[in-house]
Amino acid sequence: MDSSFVTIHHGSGKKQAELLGFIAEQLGPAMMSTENDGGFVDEAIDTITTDSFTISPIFFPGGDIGKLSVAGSINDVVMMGAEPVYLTLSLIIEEGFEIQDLVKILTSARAELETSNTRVICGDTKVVNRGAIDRIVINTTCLGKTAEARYAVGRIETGDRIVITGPAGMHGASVMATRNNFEIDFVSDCRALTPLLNAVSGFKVHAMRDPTRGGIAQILNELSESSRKEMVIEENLLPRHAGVEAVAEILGVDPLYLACEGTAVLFCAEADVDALLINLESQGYSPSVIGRVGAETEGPLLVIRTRLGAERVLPMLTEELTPRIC
Amino acid sequence: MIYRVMEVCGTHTHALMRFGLKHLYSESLELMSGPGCPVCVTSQSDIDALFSMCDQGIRLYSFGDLLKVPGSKGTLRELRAQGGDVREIYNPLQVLKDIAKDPTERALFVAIGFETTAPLVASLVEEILKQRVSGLYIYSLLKFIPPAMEALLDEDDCLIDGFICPGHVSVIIGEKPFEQLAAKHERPFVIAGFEEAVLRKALDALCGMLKDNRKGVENAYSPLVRPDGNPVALEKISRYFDTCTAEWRGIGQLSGSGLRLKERYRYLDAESVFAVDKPASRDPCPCGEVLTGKIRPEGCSHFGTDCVPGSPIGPCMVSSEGACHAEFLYRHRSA
Repeated sequence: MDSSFVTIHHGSGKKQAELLGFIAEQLGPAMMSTENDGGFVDEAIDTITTDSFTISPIFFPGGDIGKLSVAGSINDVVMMGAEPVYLTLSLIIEEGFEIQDLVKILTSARAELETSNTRVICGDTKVVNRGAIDRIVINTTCLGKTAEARYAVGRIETGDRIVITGPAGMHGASVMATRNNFEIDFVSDCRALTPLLNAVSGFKVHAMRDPTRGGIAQILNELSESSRKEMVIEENLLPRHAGVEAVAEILGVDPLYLACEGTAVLFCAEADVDALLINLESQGYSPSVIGRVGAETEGPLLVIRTRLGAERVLPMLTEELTPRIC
Repeated sequence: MIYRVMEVCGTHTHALMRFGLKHLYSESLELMSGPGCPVCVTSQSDIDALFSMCDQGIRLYSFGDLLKVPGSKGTLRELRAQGGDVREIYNPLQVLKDIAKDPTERALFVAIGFETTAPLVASLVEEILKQRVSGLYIYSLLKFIPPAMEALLDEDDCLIDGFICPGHVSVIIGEKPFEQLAAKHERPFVIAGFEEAVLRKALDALCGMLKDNRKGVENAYSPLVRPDGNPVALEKISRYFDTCTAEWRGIGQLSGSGLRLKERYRYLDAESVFAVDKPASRDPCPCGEVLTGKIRPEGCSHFGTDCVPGSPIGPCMVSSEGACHAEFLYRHRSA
């Protein structure tokens, strides 16, 4: 690249070709052919998800928007029981965006693609005027093929154990801490969960979900609503992370509502749960059973049993989390 | 005998419900949430004043929670969506960095908070003077808690048997202001922290004082709270601010309860510098009655129906520190 930042001229003509070539070069073998306008997919492909990513700051402890946008869509496919195969990658870039930042983002996107053995099949790049967006927006669509079984909400049963593969809220807490210039000693959990497919293989896992926006409390409410079953979690079983708790405490937010980007909630038949935990542990996860699926319910109902034995309702998130004042 | 006890700190409101303590102590204490959330006690008139300044092209900086409070024309967040230059910050000193990065001719910092926030705002004023920042003004909504507690105690029909004193505020002001209130109004006051065990200790202490009919102040949050508080912070506040009369939503005008920049710094005071259109408050909801413990959140006809966290009518539902917000968020299973 001639210039050190993206200009509006990179949106068309010769400059555009130069930018596209540069992006393909950064992605290397993680990108399939650029000869045609699109790609032909393998006929075994049966699962698809899409997501758009915008985050401030775009670089955060443990990742950046490039890694996040690859891992995010891959994880959605993995949660449905499919192995990721292809990814589409669309970048919308604000003019003035520095090339060295673009290199960093594409490098981490490429690394994340390579660890999941997934390749970019097609993509798009647009440049917009300064001020039109906050630096960069990325859309990815992931296509995959079912590995062993399709995981779906409809399979959740009363009595299923709710398992989480690590502490909650590490991504949300690390981003909020960075926004407020807090020094922290942990990083976002942002990563592709592709290896989880192997780790749960052979166990009676009925559904999986990665608690992104709104955290555990939000997704358990959503699953309670769609499965029409109540969810009960125990406060003293929740894996805690001191750093996350400190950030949450200072800002006055509940870690249960903070996003995870590389942690999953699994629903597993009670008979299989002990063996599943051992297997997850052996593969490097820090799993815990945090509760169980309860009886049928009309509306969504997520209940947390506190350490003192009180049972309170954890409602759906109704608005953005904002730090408290004092 | 069930005693009526008021906590005057939004973080206590939350903690008491989050740990299930409100329910656990319900046979001995009826816990009410008082005016302990800075957003909740902000008058509609102040939000309208901020709208009028933003309409004049002045950039506003404030804490996120305030942006959700409805004035008569909507919220500051809605104003921002329609093109108003309204920016959210967490630490007042972030304002200086943002202005350096994106300069503007006129900006104001909406200083909202209690004794805990005031020293930070004083630091901002100090930096404005030191760095000779021009075009940045302060709109002070800063308030002191003890005058509001006193106003509640002065009411003829006051039903409050005792107070849980705000922990963070007490770290700044110390025990003494509460001792004066306790002596004058003959009631028990316990200063409490926020951890589960610390809060239980405070509630147990208050139960004991009420049963034995003891008045005075017990400090269940020592050694963090010292008798004289934090003299450095207090000195910083008094270096730049004088007390003034302030409007509290639902309570009214209270003399000596607000903070305004001292006369010699008045040129930084947004209210003195700009023409401010400040119509009188006409609150559409009974937030004031909730704040003063006259009705419980669920006793309000709007609660949970047309007033919910996503679209609040009154400020008690806006802030995560608000009594209604907490009541909405932390329902007990049987409820």
